Amino acid sequence: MSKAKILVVDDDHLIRQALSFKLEKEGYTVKVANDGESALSIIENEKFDIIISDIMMPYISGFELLKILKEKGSDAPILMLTALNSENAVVKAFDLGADDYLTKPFSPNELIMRIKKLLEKK
Amino acid sequence: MGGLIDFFITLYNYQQQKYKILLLGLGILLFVAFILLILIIRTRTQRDLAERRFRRIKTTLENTILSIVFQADLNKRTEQIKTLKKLFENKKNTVARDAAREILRTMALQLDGESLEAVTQIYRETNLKELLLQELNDKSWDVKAAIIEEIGDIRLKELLFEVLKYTDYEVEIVRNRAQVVVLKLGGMRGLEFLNTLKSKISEWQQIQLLNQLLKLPYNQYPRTKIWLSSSNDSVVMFGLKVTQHFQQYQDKEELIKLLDHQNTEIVKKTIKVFTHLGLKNELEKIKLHYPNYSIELKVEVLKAIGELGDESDHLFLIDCMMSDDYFIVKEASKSMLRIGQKNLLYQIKDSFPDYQREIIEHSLDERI
Amino acid sequence: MKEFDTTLSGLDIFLGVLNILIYLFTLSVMLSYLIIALLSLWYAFKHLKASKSINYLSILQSPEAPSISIVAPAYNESKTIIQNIRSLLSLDYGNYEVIIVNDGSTDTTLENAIEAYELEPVRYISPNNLKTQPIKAIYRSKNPALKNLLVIDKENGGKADALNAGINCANGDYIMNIDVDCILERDCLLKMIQPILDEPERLAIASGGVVRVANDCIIDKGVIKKVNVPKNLLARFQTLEYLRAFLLGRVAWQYLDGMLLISGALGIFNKKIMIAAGGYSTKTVGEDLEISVRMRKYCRENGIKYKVHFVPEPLVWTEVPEKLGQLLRQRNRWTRGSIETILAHKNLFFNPRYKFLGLIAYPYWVFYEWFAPLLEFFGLLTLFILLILGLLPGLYIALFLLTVVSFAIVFTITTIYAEESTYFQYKDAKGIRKLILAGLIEPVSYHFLVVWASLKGNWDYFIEGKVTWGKQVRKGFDRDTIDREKKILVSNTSGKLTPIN
Repeated sequence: MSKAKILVVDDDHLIRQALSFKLEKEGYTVKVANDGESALSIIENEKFDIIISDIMMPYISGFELLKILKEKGSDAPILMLTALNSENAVVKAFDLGADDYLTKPFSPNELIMRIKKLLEKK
Repeated sequence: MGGLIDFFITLYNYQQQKYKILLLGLGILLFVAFILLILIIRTRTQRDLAERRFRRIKTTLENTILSIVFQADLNKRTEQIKTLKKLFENKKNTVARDAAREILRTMALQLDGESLEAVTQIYRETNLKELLLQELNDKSWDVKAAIIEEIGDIRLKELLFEVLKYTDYEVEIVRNRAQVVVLKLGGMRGLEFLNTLKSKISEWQQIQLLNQLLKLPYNQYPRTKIWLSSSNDSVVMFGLKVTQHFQQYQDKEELIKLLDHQNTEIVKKTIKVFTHLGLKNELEKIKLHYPNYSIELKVEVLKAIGELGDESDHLFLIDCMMSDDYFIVKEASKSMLRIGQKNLLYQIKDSFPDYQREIIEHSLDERI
Repeated sequence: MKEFDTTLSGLDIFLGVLNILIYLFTLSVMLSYLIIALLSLWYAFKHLKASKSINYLSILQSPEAPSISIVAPAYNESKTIIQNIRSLLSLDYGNYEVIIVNDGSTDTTLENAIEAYELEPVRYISPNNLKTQPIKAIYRSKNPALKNLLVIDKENGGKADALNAGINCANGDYIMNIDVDCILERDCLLKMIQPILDEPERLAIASGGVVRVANDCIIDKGVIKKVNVPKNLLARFQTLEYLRAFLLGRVAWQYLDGMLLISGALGIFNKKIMIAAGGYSTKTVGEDLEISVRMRKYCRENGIKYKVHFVPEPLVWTEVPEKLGQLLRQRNRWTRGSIETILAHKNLFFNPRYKFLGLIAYPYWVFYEWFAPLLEFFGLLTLFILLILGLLPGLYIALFLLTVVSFAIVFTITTIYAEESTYFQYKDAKGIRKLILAGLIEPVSYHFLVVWASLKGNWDYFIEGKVTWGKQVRKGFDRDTIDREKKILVSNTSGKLTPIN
């Protein structure tokens, strides 16, 4: 399998750090963005195989990012990774076209498994 | 400096009584101002330096800790932890220890599974665990509370009994944290204190307890019956929340009794629980209470009809839509939609007076 | 000769009594400041300690988190509205909605919002719990990601009226009202709701938050990136004023049940009680002060055991006026607002039925907030007259004033020290030096401006009858439009999303 490219969008520095550490170890190429807006500008120039995004971020929330990406027809699966654990949030995320939803605290191993599944489906 | 004070004393001695009072006041004020200024300058430089150093060390530690946490080879991990331990043992370098604790804690809050176990292992195999224990016993209430939280976050199960000692500590905040952590580390038995609790549990504390409860392994089921019949309203509320999120169908009888409870909030929540559990057969019993309820509760009943009812409830709802109360009309018409009577609602809406019709049209607007 | 003697001794007695009165009042002011400052500091430190072990994230993870409605009135905010809505929509909280009330703006506020957020009018009938000016239309976004945004367009009726319209449409259990142009800390909902939920015995009806000065701070994507001391001297004085009021003033009052004022820039309220108490009063220019008095009164009269909280952390940042005229008008209005509220609730005055509220907080407000500037003015005037008549030695007066001034200075320095050892927002040493210097000259410069504005407010209210109860007070919010342009320049984003193609 060729190296899949993953974009991690999260406003928490440590999460970004941890995810890129773990994912790179698993052999993926990882880019990080610290909010929705910078994620959009990164995606403009690059294609990703999967996008992992937080929901509560300054300025452009994960929901909006999701909406914009799906609208412009991005085919990269999007996995929401968030502390929000209410039914409302989960429903809203899938409603907007999220491909998967994982709540923090999360198990990085589980995340890897889900990423693999998403890539297979794709 | 000395000259200034001498001058002041000479000035003071030469004055009459009323001048003396003022001069004395002025002198004291100037002195205080001077001391404060020095304090500001001192704390500022110290704090600035300390913060910068802390941040520097934290950045370097981050990578070390990440490589330990995500180390798959267990032997290598043990080795790495040993180096970390040496770093912490340096008595002068408490900064590294504190920075590491901050990183580990944030990770423990965000990560789960094997990674969390690695964090716990770091605490166990360095001197951090002993440090926590020592601080827990020696320090003031705020540190105690924070340490108890930390023990819970890191899942140091072996410290359960140490935490247990603090469940009836004199400071409320410590007590509250300990209750949650005992539940987190010790499982369901941690909630037994609710059975006899006299004081109220705040909504915040209920949220904390419920969060932990929801994270417990599936084989542990809470017994809610005793809470639902408690004389302590806050315990009943908590019981209801647990019943709802753990789908405790067997509590049906208790729930029916609660429909008559004096506390509006409890009745409201009870109706919500019925809805959530999908207890369709009990809907008639809820409807029986409708005439005696306040508007707030009536609205709740109407909501329940929307979720649990079927086409046969439309007459009841149409009846409610004649009401002059905004909330009742709105909720009744919304429930009409939910029980699949949209077409009927369209047909009959124009036969209602203007006010009611407008509200019905509002409900029909699906964008809201 | 004899006659002359008696007049002299009469004058002597008068002077003596006056002297003592001035003394006593000054001393009591100082003493009350000290007590309140100590209480505040004690509480601030306690809060700081307790919050170390609070896991604010837990409320995000909870399915039982209460719902909050943010109500933000907007009047002629076309330049910043898009950006402001965006920051409101990306706060750290799960269960909340944002209600923007366009209070009959005469510019393109509404149009800008409609365009940027794909708003469309919906049929929305609100329950009209509170009477307001007619509502023209209610908008929702077509974008499903923005489900929690509601925009109300209504006829102009002033800030209180706009807030009421928003409350009518609110679905949340709690109402949080803010000035739309304020910059909120992203965790402010979490921080504000926590103490309200963590109140086991009593009903927490409201919570206030600390407002800080945003002038010259660096703002990026709606978030404060770096806190600076304002360059403008007037704004710098106000920075000190806000620090003093919030750090060493307001906090203490929650013990005395008298934190009468929850700033209009940030407050969270229990919706049920707020509506039951009648919502915001449209008949005063000080609606934020008035509502918190009325909600307390309502609870006391209905036997509800209540509590009003105050979160001593800086949670919201606001631009303060940098021009003299704007400042004077603002203070003038604040004074009138206080007078209106005080007069509207006269029956609280030393009324034991209302406990602390009637016995301490309300009289304090009357004597030390309302009368203090008046007394200060007349005190200074008499001292001046006495000096001219040669009845009191100049040296004595000078010494007396010097002592009062140095008290003010010491108080300010204490505030700065308190800020340094609690929240430590001003990281630049240079900035702190500037603040201290401003503190040194404040009592002999800026302070007189405030006293003057307050006198003028009293004059306008009582003599000119500028504002009377029962009359529509104003069109629009007479908050002055502060140089908004600047704020946009500081932030490097325009607020509008450009779709990627």
